[in-house]
Amino acid sequence: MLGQDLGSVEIVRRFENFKLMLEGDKRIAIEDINGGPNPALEVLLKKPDGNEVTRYVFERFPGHSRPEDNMQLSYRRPIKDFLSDVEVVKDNKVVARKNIEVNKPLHYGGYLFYQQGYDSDAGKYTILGVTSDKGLGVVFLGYILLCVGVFWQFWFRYIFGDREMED
Amino acid sequence: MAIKFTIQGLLIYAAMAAYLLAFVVMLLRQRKAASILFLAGFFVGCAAIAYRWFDVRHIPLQNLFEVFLTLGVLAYPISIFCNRVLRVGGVAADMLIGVIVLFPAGFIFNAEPMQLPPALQSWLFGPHVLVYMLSYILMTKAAVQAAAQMTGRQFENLLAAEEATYRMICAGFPLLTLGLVLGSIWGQNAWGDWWGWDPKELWSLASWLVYVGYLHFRYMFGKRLPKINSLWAVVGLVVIIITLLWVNLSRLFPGLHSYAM
Repeated sequence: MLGQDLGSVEIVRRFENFKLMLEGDKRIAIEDINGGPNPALEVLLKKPDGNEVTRYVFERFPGHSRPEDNMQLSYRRPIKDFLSDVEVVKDNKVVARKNIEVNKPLHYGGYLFYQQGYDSDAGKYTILGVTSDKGLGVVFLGYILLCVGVFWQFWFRYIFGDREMED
Repeated sequence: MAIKFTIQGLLIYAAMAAYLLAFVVMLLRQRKAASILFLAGFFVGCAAIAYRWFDVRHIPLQNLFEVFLTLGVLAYPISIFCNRVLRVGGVAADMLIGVIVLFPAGFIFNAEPMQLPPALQSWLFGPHVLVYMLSYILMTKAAVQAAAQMTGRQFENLLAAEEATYRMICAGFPLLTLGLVLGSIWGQNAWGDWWGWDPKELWSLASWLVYVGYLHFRYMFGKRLPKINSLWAVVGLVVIIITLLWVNLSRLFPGLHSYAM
């Protein structure tokens, strides 16, 4: 319900791959199992004067609205998660397997496999980034030393300690 | 600039009103009434955070609206802690800091709920941001004390303003360091690199280095040049504000942290 002068909007049907079919004179919307994705929603607009119209909203073709509706409909599906099932094969044997997530890369043999991107149209492929950093241990050791050092010096010796750290 | 006519907005305005009233009452030297109002503002602020948390179903630290809301609520416990434990006063200034920090959440930033994008779905999300929030409030208090020292004023401190500035920075600096380190670890997990030369990273390193500068300058010339020493703390806050706001809002810096809008 959008208010008195706009009426209401109701989602009637969801399509993963929207397609229009001609059946005699009538055009009907179907879910096509073949071909690329075309996510769409079938929406029923109930106008304030009692008229009802059906509209289709497409994720891949935004701005497809009609001026007489007095509104702009858009269909967005935010990405909740993004996974790549990765196997590392060495000498015809699977030596490592992991479902890589955005914050969970795969470590194998000194290499780090992480997700760099994906096919934003259809989600049919993933782009993996591979890095190798032999000095990573030194960097992290430095972090630990730095953190221990500053917390020790400023918090435990000065702020919460009874010893005054004056000059 | 828009007024939020929602429960969320009203809770923020109520908290701001309580903080502001506490500040005024404090100036009228009614300490007891002022601290009750300050506490009331904190409780209303907690309700605002709880409401937001329930609404978006993740820790409300995702965008600038949520961050400023949280900063405004954190102002109270940090103020009490600094006053009681660290003997650093300036409670009236803390009440005003609370109002100033809640203002953008109440009137400027968009409160539209957003789903947490995959990049932020990490155990580091809460700690990384929260540690920074805590240190930013402490550094703001340090800058207030430094400004008092530079203008020759004195809060109802138990410590002299210069000593209070130092103490606030000693409290905030380890948290600033931890925030940087946690961010770097997160970067390693999410982007495969522990340092990405992203504008937000660079500016947070810059603010960290300003405080490193403060600490070294104080050790060397603190006694002889106390005012220049205090200037470091004020500059530190300016760089923090750039890190927190400008980098996210300006089109000059498109970067990996831009989702934080």
